[in-house]
Amino acid sequence: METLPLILAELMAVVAVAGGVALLLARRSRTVSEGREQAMLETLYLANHTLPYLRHGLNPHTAERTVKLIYDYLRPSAVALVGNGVILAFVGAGSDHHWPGTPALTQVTREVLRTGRPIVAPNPSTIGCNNPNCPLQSAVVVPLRVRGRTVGCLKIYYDGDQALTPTRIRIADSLGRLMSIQMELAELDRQTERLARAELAALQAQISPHFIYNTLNTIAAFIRTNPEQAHELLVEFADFTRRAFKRRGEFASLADELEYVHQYLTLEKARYGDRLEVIYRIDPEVLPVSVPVLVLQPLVENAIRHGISKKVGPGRVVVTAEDRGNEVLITVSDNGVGMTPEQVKQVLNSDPRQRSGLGLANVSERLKSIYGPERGLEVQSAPGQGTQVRFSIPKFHAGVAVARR
Amino acid sequence: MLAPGGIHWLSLLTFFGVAVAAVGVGLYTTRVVRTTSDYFVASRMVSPLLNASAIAGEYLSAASFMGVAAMVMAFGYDVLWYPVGYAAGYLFLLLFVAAPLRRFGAYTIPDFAEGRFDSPAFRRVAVIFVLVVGIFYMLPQMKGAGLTFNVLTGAPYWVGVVVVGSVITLNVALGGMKGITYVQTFQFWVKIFALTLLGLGVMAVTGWYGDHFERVSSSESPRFAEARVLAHQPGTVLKLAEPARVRALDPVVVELPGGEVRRPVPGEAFSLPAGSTRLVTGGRLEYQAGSPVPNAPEGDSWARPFGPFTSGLGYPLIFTYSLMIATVLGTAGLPHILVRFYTNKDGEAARQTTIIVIGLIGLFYLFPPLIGTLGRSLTPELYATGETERLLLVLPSAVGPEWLSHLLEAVVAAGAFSAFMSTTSGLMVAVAGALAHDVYARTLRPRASSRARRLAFQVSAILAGLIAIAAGIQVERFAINMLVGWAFAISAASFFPLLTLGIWWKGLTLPGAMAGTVVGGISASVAILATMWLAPVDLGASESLLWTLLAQPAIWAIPIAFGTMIGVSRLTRDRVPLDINLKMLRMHVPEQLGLRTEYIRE
Amino acid sequence: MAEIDNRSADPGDWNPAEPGVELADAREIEVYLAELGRFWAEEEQALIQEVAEQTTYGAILLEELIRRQLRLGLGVAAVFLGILFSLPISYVAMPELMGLRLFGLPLGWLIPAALIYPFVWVLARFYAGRARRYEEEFRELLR
Repeated sequence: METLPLILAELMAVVAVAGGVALLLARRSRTVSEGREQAMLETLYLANHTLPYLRHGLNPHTAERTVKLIYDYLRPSAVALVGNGVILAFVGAGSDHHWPGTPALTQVTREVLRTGRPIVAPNPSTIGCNNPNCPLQSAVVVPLRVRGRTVGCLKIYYDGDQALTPTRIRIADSLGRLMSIQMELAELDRQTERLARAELAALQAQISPHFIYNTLNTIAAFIRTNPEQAHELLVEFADFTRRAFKRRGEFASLADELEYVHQYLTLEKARYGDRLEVIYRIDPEVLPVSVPVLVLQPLVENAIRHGISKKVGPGRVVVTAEDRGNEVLITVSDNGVGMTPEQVKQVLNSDPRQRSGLGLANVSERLKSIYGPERGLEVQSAPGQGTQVRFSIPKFHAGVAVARR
Repeated sequence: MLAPGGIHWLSLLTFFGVAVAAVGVGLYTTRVVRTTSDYFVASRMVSPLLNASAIAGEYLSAASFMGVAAMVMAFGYDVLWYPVGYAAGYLFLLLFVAAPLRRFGAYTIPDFAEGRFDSPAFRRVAVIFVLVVGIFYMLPQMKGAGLTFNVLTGAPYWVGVVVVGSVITLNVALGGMKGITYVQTFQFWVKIFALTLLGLGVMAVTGWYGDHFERVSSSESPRFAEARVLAHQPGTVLKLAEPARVRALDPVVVELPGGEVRRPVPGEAFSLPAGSTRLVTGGRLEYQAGSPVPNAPEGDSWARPFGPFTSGLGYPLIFTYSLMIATVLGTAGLPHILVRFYTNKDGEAARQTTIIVIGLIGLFYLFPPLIGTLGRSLTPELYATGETERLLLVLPSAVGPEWLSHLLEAVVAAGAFSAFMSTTSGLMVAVAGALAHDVYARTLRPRASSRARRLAFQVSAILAGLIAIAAGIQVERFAINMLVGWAFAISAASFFPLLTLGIWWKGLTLPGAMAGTVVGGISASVAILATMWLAPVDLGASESLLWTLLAQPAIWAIPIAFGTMIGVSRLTRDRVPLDINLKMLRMHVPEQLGLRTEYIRE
Repeated sequence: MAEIDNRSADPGDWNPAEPGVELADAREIEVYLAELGRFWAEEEQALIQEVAEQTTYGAILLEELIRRQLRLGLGVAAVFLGILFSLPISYVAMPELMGLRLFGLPLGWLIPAALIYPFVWVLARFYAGRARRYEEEFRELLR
């Protein structure tokens, strides 16, 4: 047994343990340095308290409240809010000549309004106030931007450039951004009618009107005969539309899609009663896979509308998700009336413009555009023998967002 | 006591029975549990506990089940680092890989390689090493299969490899992934049940762990408790520290340490002297009660570090550290393990799963050292015949009541098949998947239909099976865990640096990553192949540093890989991916960010 | 100072007497809503803005989180490896300690053969708890 390596090894081990423990214990590391933490806290406090005003928009009244708040809390030399080249509010030193209602006096303000970028002015000459008795020594001027346009700015003045610490600059910058966001929200608030109309249009694109009509009729029918059932259905329906409303982005986990399909099927089962049976065969290992939104539900809807509803007697829909190693194979099959080969071709190749966007062709096109031309829908059907629609997607595909539950 | 030869019918039954049971579990769970309109059952994601059991089941291979115990018996303390490394590997997986990789959404390592750098070319490079590690890791399973089948039926080694290999290959090709989580969980419970039953059962009859250990770790070497007949193969060397009284039952020719050749008369007692005696012809020898067991390491060397396992090396400490590093860092890169993590719901679930895995396999690994100690105490004759690898199947015969022996052996046989099947299936699926998905579907024929892809998978599985069987037949002379240690070394040198730096370092570039992976993987592979080619059965007596470093290359190959990655990345600084911040965001931003849940609640 | 996007300011149509900014038409709103919808629906999008701009709190906090977790991982790894590496040599260094008997087995055997496994498990739990706490702090600060 060699002794020198032995000693070295022992030393190494001791150093490693010591180092590791030191790493773990030392400096229970703060998330941000003192200055940043303080800056954050102050910004947040102010944002919290100015929000109630700025939600009503930026006008002299709200501006005055806002600058007072900021002034009282931060205690700088002065605070001002400018909107469209005019001073909306001013508090602090120099308020004798910086009057609300007058055009902005300082050069730096005009510069910020023009460029949309924040500026730090460390001395009176860069501030550029044209009043020779102006006591303001240094300032941070940050723009207020709504939808890409600079609609005003926030100015915080200090006495002397020593007072312009990085922390304070950061506070001003963050405040400016937060206030901008608040103002954007304020605009949203005011446009509710247009909002509703736009959203409804979007909603219509995502759910078939037939479905809404039929479901509501079903619910209405239940109200007399089985009020509890009607109530439950209504709740489900509300939840369902809220989901569709939510615009979930391009991808969701298979589990999420299944939930959506399940809600849909609950509502359809209320309408069909015993005539509709649904079976799920899901390999739990594939539930986390990212799938494009709204690929599963249209298949199921199709199976019911074209397969089961036209059939005499009970129908069954089977939804399958199989783990195929690197891919997932998803199948929706029904024992409905089936289709002839011509119908199958027509369904897959039909002009997308003629359909509401939910058709199989649309789904197939979407799959192909994301995953490649070999990944479209595969349809197998024969008259009287039901239909099977399936597709497989890889578990990992570059460019596909990972769904987060 | 069980007769050593002949066919052990009960054990054979359980051996193949467990395979049938496993397939049955797969079919049953997919058919019954999921065929329901109860949506909530169908949509429930696999819980960390269940997934962890499956991972543990897939991970504990022949090496863990039978190899470690056998090695402990043969070499003692030095080989305890194998199971420790296997378990600690999950700690490193947890620290550096589990949660971020899950969040990234990669299913396999080639997925990560492509996704992290937007490079299909790198995917192909990664696939190469997946195939190397995967096939390499299948070899010890085949070895275990051949060995076990030989013990159970007396058939030659290669028959076992072919039979077991074919069964597993067919199961994978035809069945694929049916109910895999439940199947692997079932396999885990079979194995741990078998091992604990064996350990506790033998202890119940023969005494506590500590007592056995005390007896075998004294400076004395083991002795035959009673007279024993052993059949030796021709060419066997019998090493003794002191003379042993024996009687030849067959005409044998022995070459004594001095070179003198003797032909003892059958039936006549004679003395095997201290030193190495070679049996020129094979035959049966009867050892008197109390005579020392040939080839058995001495107690105090066996129970302490730098004993018989590494004593032939000039640099045992370096070898030990290299082995530790290989096993600890290699787990993260094993192709069949990472894919199980995809099943988790999110990064936090991935972490929870890893912790449970550590608990489960830690519990499991308490038993192999125990069984190794019991073996040294109760079946020391395995030393003489050089058959210590059969320990798990032979130990049951050392306990009293015959029914217990039969039961234990049957249970162990079942556990053994579980071990081969679970790991080999997992590896085969990973390898076949890489061949079918990455090589065929993505590279050779991107337009292949889903039917063609399925066929490609089946063909790949069969191909992988054939390679594993063919190569498995060649590796009889290597200890199971040596082979595993080498598989881990390649994985550690090629994939661990890639994963760690790819996840935690923004500055890693595509050229850097590729260079490092290739350099690490190739240098480790070359070193190992050289060792396999040139080595005698055990590590052999070689004093040179080079030999030590070749035999376990992790300690230098991994730093070289890291160094290459970092160095080349620095040189190609401008090739950092443009969206690197987004990639980091994707991997590290924790789930359930407050924004979303608030929105939902409203 | 932070760089924000550089579209030029045109304060011309702000009327200080009006309480708010008039947006142009329904179609613009629809487009804007679509953007906003995507903003809120994918939580990552919120951070993407911040990360792209590099100096805001989102990006800073994320980098800090990554650094903290890496340091935590390295620390735990160092502790474990240090102890692991010291075990083979401990026999020479501390023979009496290694000879101490527990459950009838000497410590020198008991540690690598048994005790080290619960130790690894404890380290794992420690890491996961800490890492989770860092993530919670990150989330809190970002709300």
